[in-house]
Amino acid sequence: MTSVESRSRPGAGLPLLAHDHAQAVVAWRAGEAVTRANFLADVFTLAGQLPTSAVILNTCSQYYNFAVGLAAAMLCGLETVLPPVMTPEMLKSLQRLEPRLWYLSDQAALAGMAGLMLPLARTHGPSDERVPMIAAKQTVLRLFTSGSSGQPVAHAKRWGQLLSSCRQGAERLGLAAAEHYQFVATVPAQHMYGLELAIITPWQQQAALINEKPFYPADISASLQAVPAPRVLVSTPYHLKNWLDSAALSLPELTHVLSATAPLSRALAQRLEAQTGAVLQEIYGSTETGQIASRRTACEDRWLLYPGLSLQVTAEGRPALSGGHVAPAVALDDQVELVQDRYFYLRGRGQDQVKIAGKRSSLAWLNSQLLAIDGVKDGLYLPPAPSQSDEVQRLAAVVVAPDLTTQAIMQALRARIDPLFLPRPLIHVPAIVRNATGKITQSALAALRQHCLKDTDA
Amino acid sequence: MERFFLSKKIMENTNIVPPSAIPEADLLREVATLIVSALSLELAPEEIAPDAPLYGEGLGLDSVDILEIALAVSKRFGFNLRSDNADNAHIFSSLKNLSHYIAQHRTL
Repeated sequence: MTSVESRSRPGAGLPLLAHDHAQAVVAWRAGEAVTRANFLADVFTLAGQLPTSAVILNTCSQYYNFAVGLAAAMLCGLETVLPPVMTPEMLKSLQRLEPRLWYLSDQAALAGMAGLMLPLARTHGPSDERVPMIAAKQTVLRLFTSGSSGQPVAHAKRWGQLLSSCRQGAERLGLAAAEHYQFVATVPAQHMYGLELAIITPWQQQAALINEKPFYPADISASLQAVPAPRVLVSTPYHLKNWLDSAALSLPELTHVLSATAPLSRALAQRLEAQTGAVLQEIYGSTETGQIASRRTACEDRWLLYPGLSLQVTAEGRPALSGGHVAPAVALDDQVELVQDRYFYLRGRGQDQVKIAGKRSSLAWLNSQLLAIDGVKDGLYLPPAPSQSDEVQRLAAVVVAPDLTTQAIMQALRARIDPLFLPRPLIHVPAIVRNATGKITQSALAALRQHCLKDTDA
Repeated sequence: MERFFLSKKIMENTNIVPPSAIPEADLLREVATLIVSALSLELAPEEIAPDAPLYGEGLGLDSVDILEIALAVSKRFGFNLRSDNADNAHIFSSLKNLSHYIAQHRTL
């Protein structure tokens, strides 16, 4: 299957939305349907307010607001950047990288930056105009990951590349004929998974996205019940498990459940399918690559790559992905075991990446943030032991900081990192023994782990 | 939704001590114990000050912790926290406020 990008004529562009008539429902907001005509009116309203030269920081927490913001920026030829975390330090880093940063928010205004609060009152009339086209080669987004150097790393996404990846995903996940489906999501649109599955897939499959992002399990049920079937739930193992385990909660009927960001157990997948009547598909991907593989977890342990992609193992023993919408080749951080015909097993994570409740960070980056705190002479996040448990595992850290309290260190870290990655526990030690290259020896690490265990048992 | 109301009706018709009659201090301690055990925190339930913030500062819980607590509350007290019923920030602004909210909504 050729990519969407390669099939488009040069300069022709690809449509923002696939909905083929003005009254088609593209979203639900506070229980009301929003037509294509009104969505475009909102997009044109906002487009008229954006500065002519800026880089748009889209921090919108709600999906309709995010979608209007992204669409308006694309129409104006402006790039949108999406940060990995929204801490004051990250925003400062981004502003240093991109002085023309301009925010869109639907929660709170950002200090020290120009921008706009959404939603705006609609001033443009309902639009019967043709759906806008966006050039396949236009760089529409830059997503950032926390780099091991301490600086955020940008991953540029072109419109054609995004559509290609989402088109393949829709076909693989059984969403190729998802016209009139409703997509409820629990994941941030600022991360690749939410961007692809909760925003672009509904756009491209003539489905509707739901503005509100449910938080509690009861909210998830309520959000689903508030919209007509067929319904798709875009979520993570962590939210799905909580939802399933909540007492006295009714689970509405669904056609599809999508899960990503962390492996889901077969037992949980089977329970979910039984209770909701849905087909549960897990998606594997990354910020660097977008979605690249899937499996129906209730029946299958192996992952299957999307068409046109291939996995090789590099000379260093790391898997590298190439082909299709992923070019040039990208090294994956997970350990994989290749089997025939583009199937593979996931065999554990790489050394640096860590995940808590499906959110990703880098140990090297976390360490750089800890060491950047005034008064911290040395410090280390302990690499987590491998765990098969569904329970959330926190990261322990040790620190040499004789003049700082734990509270002071935590406060300083809060300004820099996502609260999920705050150390639990944070242990003060007199020194951290490092070898000549500055690394911790295995024996020193084992001793530190023992020290942490003793401390928590006290 | 039906299961929620059915269990409430059963509670109202059986001859046991209604939840609202249980002393406040006992509930406070029970909720503190629930928090410590649900999150595997390394402190004793008595160390959670009744008026100190739970979320963000004070105890320093994050959104994942809130979900864990919501799950434990649903299992122990038989009702589900909802974002639109009351202000999340208020419910988790202190142990006392959380206990009060539980006292008002519990069915077990």
